[in-house]
Amino acid sequence: MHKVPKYICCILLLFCSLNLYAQTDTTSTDTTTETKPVVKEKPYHQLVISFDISQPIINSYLTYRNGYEFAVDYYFRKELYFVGETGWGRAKVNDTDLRYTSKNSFFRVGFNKSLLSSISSKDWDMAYIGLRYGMAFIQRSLVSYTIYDNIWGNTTGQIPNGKSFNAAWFEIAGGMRVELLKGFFAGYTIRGKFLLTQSAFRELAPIYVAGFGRGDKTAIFDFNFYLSYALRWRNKQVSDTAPAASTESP
Amino acid sequence: MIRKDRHLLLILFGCFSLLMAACNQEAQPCGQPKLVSVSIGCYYDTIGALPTTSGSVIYDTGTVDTFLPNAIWGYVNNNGVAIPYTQGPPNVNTFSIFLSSVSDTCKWFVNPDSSSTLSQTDTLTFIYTRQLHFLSNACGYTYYYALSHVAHASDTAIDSVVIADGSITSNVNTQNIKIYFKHNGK
Repeated sequence: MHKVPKYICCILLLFCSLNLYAQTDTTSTDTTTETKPVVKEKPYHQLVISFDISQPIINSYLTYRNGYEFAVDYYFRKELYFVGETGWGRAKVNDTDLRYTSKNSFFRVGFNKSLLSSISSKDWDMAYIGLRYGMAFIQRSLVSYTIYDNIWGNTTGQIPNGKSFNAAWFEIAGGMRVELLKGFFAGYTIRGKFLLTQSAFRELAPIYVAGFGRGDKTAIFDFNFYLSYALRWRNKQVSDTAPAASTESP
Repeated sequence: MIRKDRHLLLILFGCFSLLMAACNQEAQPCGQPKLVSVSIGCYYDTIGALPTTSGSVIYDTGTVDTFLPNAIWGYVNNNGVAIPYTQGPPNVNTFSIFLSSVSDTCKWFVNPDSSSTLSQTDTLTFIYTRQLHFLSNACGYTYYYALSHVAHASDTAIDSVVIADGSITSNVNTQNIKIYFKHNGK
């Protein structure tokens, strides 16, 4: 747990930089186009489906693990987004002294709060902070081990029968998402993850838990790089408060 | 202009974070001993009357570290053959041994002064229970031990053996056993 302050500092630093950036953003808007009001409420619903493209890249060179992650977020109101994330993965340890496999699925739920003020009703770029609660459902195979002892001789044994157990954690998240083409986003999320169920990993901490990361650590810094597609439909109850800005291309 | 700034920020943070995340997930090598050892300290008991060189007698009530002049220690293998493990540097007062991971008992011998023909070799018999313990994914498993008894032969240089901490784990800061040698061989 001694790494927790380090991760919190990193996340706070990121948030500070994002916040500064957000403030700069607003100021520049005010000075260059003073007639453009800040949009108070967007007259749209938005559902964004995201795929984490960093996972296949990491899978390709960290051969002991394999993971995939997806995310869905929904714009609620006042720059608040509800987020649901899911995925699955597996890990294989095949060393001379330890051999087992594990696999798991996971989900995370939480929210993001955008720090960027929208410059138009069609501005969906966001720099955000958020919180998550995550849970993984892990299955581990039987474990084979060898204890090498030059004096008394080697010991080889097995821990028979696989084991199923759950892990829970919470996350502080921050990141950025930019609409590159209409409806298509790219963005990243940086996460500080803190394991809540340490006792589940005491017997044998899985080397990799999809959604969390290394099972032998209680605090983890992690990263996702998402490609996303947005589905939007008009909210009839909220009128567009910035008609002048609506002509701006996204 | 704002959008261009955002795109640039996205790329810069993205590259930096991908690098950090990838490094964070790399498998770590084993950075600790895979076998736990029993730490042994050597003492002699000064309780009682001690003759001095001048012929007078002083009384003491404590213990003093014994520095073994030219110690050699080793183990007795499964066939009963004594095999030297380490010859320590001159004047050691602590040394370590490893318990058997294939049996609940094992024997080690120690000779406090292998350069002296008068020095006797003592055999210690360790009796314990084993507990399988997970170290890490990089190191695998090891055995921790609960030491219950240490026996030694009578009429040797060893006066007594005390188990100070019978829990043999990865904790290297604990002295597990204290061996009290007879003062001047008496």
